[in-house]
Amino acid sequence: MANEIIKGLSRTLREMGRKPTTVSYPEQHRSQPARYRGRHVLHRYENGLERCVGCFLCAGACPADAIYIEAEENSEAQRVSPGERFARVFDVNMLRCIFCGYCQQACPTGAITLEKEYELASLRPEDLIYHKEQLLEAVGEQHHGDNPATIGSNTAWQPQPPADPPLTIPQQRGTFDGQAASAAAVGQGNLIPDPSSPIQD
Amino acid sequence: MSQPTNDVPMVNLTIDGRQVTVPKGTVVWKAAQLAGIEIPIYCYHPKMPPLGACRMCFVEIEKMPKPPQTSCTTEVTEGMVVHTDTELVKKARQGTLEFLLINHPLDCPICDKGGECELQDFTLRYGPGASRFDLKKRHFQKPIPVSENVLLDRERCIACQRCVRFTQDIAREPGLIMEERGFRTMVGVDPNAPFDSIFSGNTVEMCPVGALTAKSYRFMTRPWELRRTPSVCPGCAVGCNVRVDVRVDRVLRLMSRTNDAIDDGWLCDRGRWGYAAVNDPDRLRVPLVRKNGELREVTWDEALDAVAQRLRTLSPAQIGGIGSTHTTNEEAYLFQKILRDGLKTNNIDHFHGVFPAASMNASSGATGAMPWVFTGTIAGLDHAQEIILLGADPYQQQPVLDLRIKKALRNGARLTVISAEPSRIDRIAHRVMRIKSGGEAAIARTLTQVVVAEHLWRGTFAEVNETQLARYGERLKDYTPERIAIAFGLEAEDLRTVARTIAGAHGAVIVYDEMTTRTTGNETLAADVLDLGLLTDNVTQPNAGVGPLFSDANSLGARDMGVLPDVAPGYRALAKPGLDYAAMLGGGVRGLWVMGADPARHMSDPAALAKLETLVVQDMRLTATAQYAHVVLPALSYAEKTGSFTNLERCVQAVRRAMPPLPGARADWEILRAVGNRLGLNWTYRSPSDITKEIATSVPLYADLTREALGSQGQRWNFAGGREADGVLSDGGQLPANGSLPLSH
Repeated sequence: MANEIIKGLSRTLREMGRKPTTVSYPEQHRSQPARYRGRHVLHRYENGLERCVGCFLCAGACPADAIYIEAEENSEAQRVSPGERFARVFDVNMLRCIFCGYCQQACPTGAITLEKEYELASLRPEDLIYHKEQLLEAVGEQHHGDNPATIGSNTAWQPQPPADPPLTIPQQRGTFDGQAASAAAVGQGNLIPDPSSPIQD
Repeated sequence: MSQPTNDVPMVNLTIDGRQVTVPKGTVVWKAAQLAGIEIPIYCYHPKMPPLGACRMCFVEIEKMPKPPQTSCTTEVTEGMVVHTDTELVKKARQGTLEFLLINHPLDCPICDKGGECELQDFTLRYGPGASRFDLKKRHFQKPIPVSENVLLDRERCIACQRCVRFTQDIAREPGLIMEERGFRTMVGVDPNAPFDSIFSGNTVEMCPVGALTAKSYRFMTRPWELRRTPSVCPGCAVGCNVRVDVRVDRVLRLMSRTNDAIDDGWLCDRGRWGYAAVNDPDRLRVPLVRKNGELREVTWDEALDAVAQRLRTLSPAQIGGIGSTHTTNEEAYLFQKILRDGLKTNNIDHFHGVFPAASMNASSGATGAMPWVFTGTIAGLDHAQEIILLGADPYQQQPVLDLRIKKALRNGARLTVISAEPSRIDRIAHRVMRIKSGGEAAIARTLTQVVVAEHLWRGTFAEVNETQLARYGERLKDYTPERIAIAFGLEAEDLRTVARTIAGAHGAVIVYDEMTTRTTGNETLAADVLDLGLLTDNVTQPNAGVGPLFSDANSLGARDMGVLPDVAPGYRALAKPGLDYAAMLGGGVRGLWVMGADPARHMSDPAALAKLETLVVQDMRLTATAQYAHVVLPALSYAEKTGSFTNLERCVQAVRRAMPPLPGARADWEILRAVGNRLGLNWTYRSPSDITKEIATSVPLYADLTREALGSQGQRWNFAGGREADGVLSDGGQLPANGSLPLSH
């Protein structure tokens, strides 16, 4: 009997000296692991333009049908993203989202990532449809370069694409080897293309 | 494609080990497609002759020099052995794709074609995994407008020339051309001729990449977001088969759905981009009832009760109904039924052309006994020898028919245009006669006069009635070519030539526009043209036909369903005809019920509508007529309901619900059912199919018709009361052989 009591107490005394694993949420927040997938963030380029081009690929990849987009054309007067197209409406329904991260994988411009925010509770369901204004990071607050949070968890878990397959013909050889032709061999020679004067009409 | 005839010999060949039997003259690509083998290709289009420009459709054919061969330009021969998956073929395809992709911008994420792009699909299936091209791609200014509705992105173009060949060969209109040579080849706009064709949308649809895109669809969605429903274009009476593409609650585009018997795979811009009314934010969503002189929003129950109560207070003779040429057959049928059964009145009509009394001979089951029906078929135009447009402008009114006429011209037909207004097709017509408006009937009589005077008549009808022809000719004695030629500034000899060619043609098609019959002087046009057709035996012959070209999607259906004062559905004559359109609007009734029509447009003084005691309007929008209404009921568009339309050549086609109905609005048939039940009719129709069943039992022309039978390509009703199988070019119906000319003169 006494044996058991001593055994129990010794365990208690040992644990008393340890730091608890729980934190005093919400005063304290635990830092999230690298692969954590929280709320979506829409990113910007360094010059403030939105990365999202409104291509709908995230919505197409979404297994929960949580993303709704309406695209529009950039005008010179109002340029939102580089190129021709931007997302005028970008809604993510957090009630439907299963935080799988497929949208992030599908995005061709790295515009949408799942970041660390997880405090998504609300008393009103309609509040949980996040609109573009809520998802978009503020101008000047872009995370870039050395900050791993920039591209979210991409670096942490996304499989890297295979290296480009080895080229069978050296580029810009300038001679026709009879086997296959590169554009350099049959047409333009070894000219270094001048980016300032593309072929014009 | 023209109808395959039985006398073309069949050829046997082997493709990838599969035995295939196809008609002689088929190209290898088509034979492979029929055998279910995909050969990638860009320049080929089933409605155009092969070109061999894209170098994508390589196959290897045994015992043929210089492999690989292009399968789209090689015709099949007996015993040919074709391989589509050899190493050589794969390498050739990869090479072609790699070259195509050298200058392709790969902006797929923002390209409207992305997701339904043949370059994407074939690259994924047959292309190389990577490009060896690391130089600068060529760049052009991103989309440049080539027309009001179409944008051209030259970076994406792969120079397959489908669009250019379509405009030049099929539509025969200027605009798009190929510019430059070699690797610089690209599509451009003819600097001397704008690309303002009404068929420009077809080039967008047939472009295998995103080089030509539609302005209205630009960045609207991606293809995988669309719900696609096969339906029928509501734009005009041709009834082109379409696919309605809807995203959530908006129609974003109409795409063509090939029906060789009707649209031949084409669609005009008016139909393709004419969906604005469906998406209109100003559509009615709540019933309105006039209270203290103002239209107020009310509940459906209150509005329907108001309709029933207001109509019940009027006596049958005081009530009239104006139907529509845009609603489905089912709704038209129900509309006349509620007026005839529920309100006991025959005051029913719609806005239509002037045709001889509907009752005459109409139920005799004879071809040509109904002057308001085009007796030929659209597909029959392909091989007509003479085409006479008598006051008709298909380019503006029934555009896809214009492409049929151009197809007939390619097949050797001769085109005569006789009209008051210049039209786009004058340019390629063999003979153009400019007349005064309202002179079309006189021309038709003159042609008949020549036929009678020169004894050019032929066929059963003329033989049966030969004894009376002299008397008939006597009545037309004022219409000599000389007199008419002077009146219109024509050459008498030209008129004689036209009459002779009609009488001698191996199939002549004579058509007029429905609305031409409304001009003063043309009241008898329908009868005159039918007489001309009967005497020259151009009514029942294959590839021939006479009759009107209707204006709206269900113009003929509204007539068939008896939305007319003098006939019940199926043209059964009524003992006591009611008031017609003009009489009802001219103060003949005290209560008017308008379904899907806007009679105010046709009134010199629309304010007269305010004098009506009761005006009920069912429509999608607050039309000019609805402004005067006492009750306005919001209706649904063709894209939100089910039913059928009957096109100008009697083909009944299914319209399918493509999107959820606008909240608050109801389909016309639902409104009619609800009012009918308030009038004590105890209607239990659960769906339009139930109404179709009733039509099938009570309308002889639509006998045995079911929604299932309509299928994807529709069913054509026959004058004899049956239906035709697909591909029958003309009816075998009999002529009216009652011993007298069928029409009053």
